[in-house]
Amino acid sequence: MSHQQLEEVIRRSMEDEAFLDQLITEPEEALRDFGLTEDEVRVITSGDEIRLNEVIGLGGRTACINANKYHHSQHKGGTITGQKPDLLPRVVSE
Amino acid sequence: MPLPFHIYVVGLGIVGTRQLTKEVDFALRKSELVFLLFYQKVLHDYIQKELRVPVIDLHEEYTEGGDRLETYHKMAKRVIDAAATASRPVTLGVYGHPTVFVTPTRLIQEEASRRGFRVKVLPGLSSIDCIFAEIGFDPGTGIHMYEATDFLLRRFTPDPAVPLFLWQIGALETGLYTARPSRGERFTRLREYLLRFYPYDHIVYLLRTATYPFTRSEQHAFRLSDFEKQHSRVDPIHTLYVPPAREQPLQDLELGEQVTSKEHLEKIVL
Repeated sequence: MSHQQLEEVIRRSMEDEAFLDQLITEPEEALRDFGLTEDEVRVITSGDEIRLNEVIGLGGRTACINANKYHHSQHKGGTITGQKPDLLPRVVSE
Repeated sequence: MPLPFHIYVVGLGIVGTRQLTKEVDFALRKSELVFLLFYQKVLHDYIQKELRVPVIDLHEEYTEGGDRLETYHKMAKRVIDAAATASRPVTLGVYGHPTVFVTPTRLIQEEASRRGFRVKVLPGLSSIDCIFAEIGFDPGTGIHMYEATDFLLRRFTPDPAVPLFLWQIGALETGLYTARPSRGERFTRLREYLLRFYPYDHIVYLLRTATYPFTRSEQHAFRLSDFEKQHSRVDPIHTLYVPPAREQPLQDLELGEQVTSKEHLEKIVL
């Protein structure tokens, strides 16, 4: 299995909405013809982005750029998981 | 026909090609050369293979332990120098939004102005936008937002009644670039500072938005007092969300009555 096939899954998910819908609802079926190993299928279906990036060689890559204003003297220029904070009490603790 | 703009500085969103706006796509298509600060290969391939525009990945300028500001100056210089010899526009495309927590884009605007180049900045979806959507956050109720290190450096005073977002928490306490993981000690100063304003057991969240359409975003809750224990899971694109610790009561009770008064409305409109 090559990373090329995983990259192809990513590319299809970006551009083919029907494929993406199936990838979310019937992932094994959507991935059937890509020739992925069981481990690779698990990486995709787990939704684990960190693991996916590691597998395709993007682990540790910085996806953002830091503002780095530190050299300037002035500027220029409950549980939440699965819930929305506006549905939670605003006062978490007193 | 003269070029309306010599340089486009554009935001690419954060989910591959799915968040490209139409105007950004137009800018990419008419570019002679595109510099990218976007780590997903799918976007590089889209520009090179589908749009047939050459791409230069500016991540190659990062060096372990290197001063980030110097690196950003080098990136900006490469874009400006390319624009000086190009017959069509040159574009810098960055992850997210081009003026939200991004330095090279600002440097390009400053230098381009000095050298007489016209620059067009086109917005993109920021991780801020995506996080707000994912957690159902409405900034209309108030918001503090700071770059995490800048927050500490300037000792900004958070209001515990107002939601606080600290961006780039994974790059805390250094102006140097590194891809190495954090020690717990990295977060001690921030924890101690926040505990001046928030309770010991206040629940805070590490937030990270998904960058693929089929992967999960992350909302990891923990006690503020346990910050150092989270060190192994903090990465460069995490944001720290500190919910309010108290509610802000109404202060202007007179206005509170007037905002629903038709009589008052008549007084303030023509």
